[in-house]
Amino acid sequence: MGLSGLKRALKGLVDVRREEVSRVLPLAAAYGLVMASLYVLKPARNALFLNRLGIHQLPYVLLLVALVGGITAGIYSRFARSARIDRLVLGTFLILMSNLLVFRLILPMGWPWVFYAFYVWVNLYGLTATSLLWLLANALFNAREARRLFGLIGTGGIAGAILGGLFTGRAVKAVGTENLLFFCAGFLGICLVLVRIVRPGQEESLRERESSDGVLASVARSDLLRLVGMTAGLTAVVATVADVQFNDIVNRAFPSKDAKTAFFGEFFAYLSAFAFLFQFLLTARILRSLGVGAALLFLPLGLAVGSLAVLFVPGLWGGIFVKLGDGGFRHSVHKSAAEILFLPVPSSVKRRTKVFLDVTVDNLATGLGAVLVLLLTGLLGVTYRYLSLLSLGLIAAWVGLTFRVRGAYVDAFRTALRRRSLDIHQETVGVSDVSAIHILLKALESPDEQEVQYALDLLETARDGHLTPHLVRLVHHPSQAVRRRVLHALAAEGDRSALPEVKPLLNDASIEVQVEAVNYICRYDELPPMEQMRRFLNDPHHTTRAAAAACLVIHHRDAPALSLARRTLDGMLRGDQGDQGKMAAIKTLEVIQDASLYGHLASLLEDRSPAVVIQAVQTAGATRRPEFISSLAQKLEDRRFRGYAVRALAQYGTDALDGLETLLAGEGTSLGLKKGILRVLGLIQTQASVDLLVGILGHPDTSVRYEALRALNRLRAGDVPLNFRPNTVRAVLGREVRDSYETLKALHACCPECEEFGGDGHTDILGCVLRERLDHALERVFRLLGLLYPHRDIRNVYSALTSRRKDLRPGALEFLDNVLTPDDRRRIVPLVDDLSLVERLHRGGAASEEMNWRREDILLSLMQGGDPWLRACAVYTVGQRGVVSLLSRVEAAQADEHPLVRQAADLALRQLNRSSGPGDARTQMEKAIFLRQVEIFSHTTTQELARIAEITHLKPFPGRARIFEEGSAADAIYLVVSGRIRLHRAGRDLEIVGPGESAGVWELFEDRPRGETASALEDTLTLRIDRADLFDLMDAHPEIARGVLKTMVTRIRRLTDSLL
Amino acid sequence: MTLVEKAMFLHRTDVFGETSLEALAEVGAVADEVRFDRGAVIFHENEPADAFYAVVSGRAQLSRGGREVKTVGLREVFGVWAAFDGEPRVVTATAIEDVSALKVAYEDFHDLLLDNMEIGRGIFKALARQIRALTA
Repeated sequence: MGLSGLKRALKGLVDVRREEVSRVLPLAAAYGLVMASLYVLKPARNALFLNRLGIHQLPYVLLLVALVGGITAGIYSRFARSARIDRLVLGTFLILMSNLLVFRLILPMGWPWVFYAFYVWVNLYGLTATSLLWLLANALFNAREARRLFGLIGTGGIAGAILGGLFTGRAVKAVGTENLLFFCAGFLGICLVLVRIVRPGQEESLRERESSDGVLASVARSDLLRLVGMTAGLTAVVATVADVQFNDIVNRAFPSKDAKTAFFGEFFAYLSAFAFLFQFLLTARILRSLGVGAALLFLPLGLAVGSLAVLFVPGLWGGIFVKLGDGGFRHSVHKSAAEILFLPVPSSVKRRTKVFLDVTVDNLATGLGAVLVLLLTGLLGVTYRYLSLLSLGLIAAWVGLTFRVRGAYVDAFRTALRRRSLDIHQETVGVSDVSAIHILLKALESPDEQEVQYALDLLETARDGHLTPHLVRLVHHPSQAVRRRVLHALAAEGDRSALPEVKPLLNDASIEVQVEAVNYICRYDELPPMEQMRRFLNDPHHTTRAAAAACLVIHHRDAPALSLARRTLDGMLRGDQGDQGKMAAIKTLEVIQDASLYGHLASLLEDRSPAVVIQAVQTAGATRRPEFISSLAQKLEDRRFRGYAVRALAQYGTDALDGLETLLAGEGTSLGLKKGILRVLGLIQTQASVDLLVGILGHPDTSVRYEALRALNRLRAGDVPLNFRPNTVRAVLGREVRDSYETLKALHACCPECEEFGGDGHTDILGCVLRERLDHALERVFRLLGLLYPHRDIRNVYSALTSRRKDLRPGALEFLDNVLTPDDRRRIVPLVDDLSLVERLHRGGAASEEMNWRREDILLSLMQGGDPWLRACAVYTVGQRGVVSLLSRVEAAQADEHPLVRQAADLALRQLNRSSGPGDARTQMEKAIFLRQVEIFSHTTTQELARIAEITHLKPFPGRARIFEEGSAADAIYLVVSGRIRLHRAGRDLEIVGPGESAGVWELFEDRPRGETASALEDTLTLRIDRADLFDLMDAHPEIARGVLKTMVTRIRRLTDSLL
Repeated sequence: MTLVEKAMFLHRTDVFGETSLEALAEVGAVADEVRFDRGAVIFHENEPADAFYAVVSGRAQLSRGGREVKTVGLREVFGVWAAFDGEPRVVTATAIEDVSALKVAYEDFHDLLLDNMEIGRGIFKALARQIRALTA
């Protein structure tokens, strides 16, 4: 083994951080003391038993151990589950110490049962004390620390074992076997004191809920576990036979009790030393070069050699060899290999299965072994020597099983890799065997990025040293997360051969990758690290500079280096390197947590350049620092930054809630800001968000209420179960349903032609507006229903009911019938059912009042409503329908505050007084009405049409006049009000466009030159919409774009459907 | 993928080919990377639609009533029409190889369209072009 390998192994043993020493050393010493005491007790116990009762009783006591072991383990774990760990340790150790003193007293009495009891007790002692200490260790350290530190603790244990054994060998001559028990009690006492030093702070009760429910089933289901279980059984049987043989040989070789104790003590000490050296020097190499399968063969083959030795080698040496095979390998290479076998087992099953195997299977098999020995030696009179034949037979089966185990392990590993069920962060065992490493290396070539990342994470635990050539291939992987991990792993490998490949990554797109590249290069390049770093800090590329500075902050070793890094970043943040420099430096704030630099973020959030602000917003969100919350909230008002600010604030989660709540309740907060906050709340999945949002459902402004609803629906669709305040929501639902029926009533009164739900009937403007209101109200009703009933189902129903496709309706209606409560059903289903308006009103219970609302009354109330557009349309309709009785109201409307209402009043008066004919589309109102016919605006709401109408111009063209030329820029749409337009190209007529139709639409949106020429066929009056005006309008009112997009998609669907 | 990588990827799709990279960075910010094993159903016909997908690797089959309609692969966007007209899915989408894709939820996309008109303009172009191609 090379020097570096030895160094690495040593480092593996002693990789302790300073702050951990106070926890690790006492624990290691405590574990050492426990092991020492165990290695005093075991020799003593064996010697005492053999001396008093003889070898033939041994199988019986082994049987007894098997029985008792299983039962007590179960009882103890149940009891231990709820106890505080330090109390548990204190209590258990005290009991054990007192037991020791009792035994010391009664053993000399000579009663046989005492020796049985003592034998069993020592077994239990061993299991309990060690498992308690490991539980304590697990409570003190997380998995990553464990991976580093448990080696040291284990070494403490082995040192204790060796010392204990040697101590026994020497001390027994002086004090005699029985008095050794006093020393053990002493060891335990010191152990107790050490444990008190490291008590785990809080109320740590054992976190593992180890129950054996379902374990058998899981074991039966998994090939790997089944085979492991069977081999574990065989191991225990053969080990029992070997144990009996060993004890027999020693018994005959050393007649006196103390001589036995001395031999056992020294032998166990040397055995532990052998095991330790083997583990330290050879296990990792065996696993890495031969794999887990070969590693698993050491124990059976060792036992085979030992059994043969017993058969053919006379005297003590036979016994030594057989126990060597067992003890030497069992706790070194075999244990490590067995740990690895469990790696691909799902964690929910793992611990319980391990316990099951360690306790139940082990005890059962030991008992079975004891029974076999009794049968063969007692009944059949076989001598202990010839038990070797039994062993050899079982070992043959064992070896065969081991090959299958390996196969099952490889399969299970592949599956776990594919499903990504190996949670490496919870594992204390790294991936170290060659077959697993091969599988992982292969996985690195996977096209699936997640799989590659996952494999890299696992490989980092391998601490292999030979992975560099494989990792290097991934350095240019398309995914930045992979590249970052690869560089991290390369740096950990400690190998500079990747340098040429890493250098180009200094120009990588991602700052995190660059930071890792800088790290690697500084560590492994020829130049001394600081020299290299200085070069980077003066690099012309901003991102390299920033990355280098960030890297220095993270990995600095002294104050001057840190302050250099800080100065560099400080300068960049102030603008020394311009906007690009600012952005690069801002980005680094996500990977370094440096409070002194955060101060810049506040001013960068108000920077002149939008790109800088966007980066600042994103980074501020990533830092989750409270001082940025209010600036981020302000950004919600600016459309350029709104989306980013929403996401940044959402990252804060509950921490932002207080600040946001205050803003929401504030008087000065604009509607835009409020709506932005509601969007953020929809992303923070907590009860507090829900409560805030439900509170907003009563807000006077419709759009605010709507945003709150949207946010609530979003939370409902999330995976955190929350209480959506059904009572409040129901009250809101009730209001919405009532409003819907009011609108329905109005629709019936003003527009009797609008019969069907979702019908396409051409209706007058008022009918249209009322329809739109109804549709919006229905959407709100269903969104509210989604909070009270299973939201996915409600979504399904709503989607089906509002679709153009009629075939989905019956199923949806039936579903609704079934899922709603009777009250809801009665009120809500009629709103969407296939009935006439009148029927719907009837069923919905609105007919409890009289059915004969007078149209005039409805119109009157609409003319006085709060919504200006609705008022305007109502006034206009009065004119259209000649409702003379409302003339005075119309006159009053001429003084309305809203210009559209005034316009409508003028028009209506003209109609009522018959002063001139129907509109020639001069007023905004009339234009809006006209625009309804135009295809491109068929899904635009009437209110939006009124806005569009404002930017239209009437343009007359005399007959034969050119309207636009082929090849010219498509800068306007022409809508024909009267007359006709001829579209032609190269002399050929393509199309005639008549009243209500449009020309130049698609080119305008496609922004390409006109494909044809347009000329007036006769005197034509057009309505012209300029591209610039239209897009400006859409910028100011983005909802208009939605309607246009919908029309386009509808057309595309129809066109593609006809092709299918 | 980083945001920049996502934006660059989306820029090479049909639907977003006319939208600037800055605007697409916003789309990338709400796009999740998702994976589907071979044989997995991405969505069913007649389900309400709530997201669209841009295929990064692998291929998916779009079928209706059991009959294949189209296969989509690298850089193709599917499930997007419903973002604009709210209709339930008209096809079932099944992964015929292991598929990895960028998924954008409609809720997020609608907010985006309202915040950033530039995206809308780019989509206008793409859709208008498609209409022209279909009516030619």
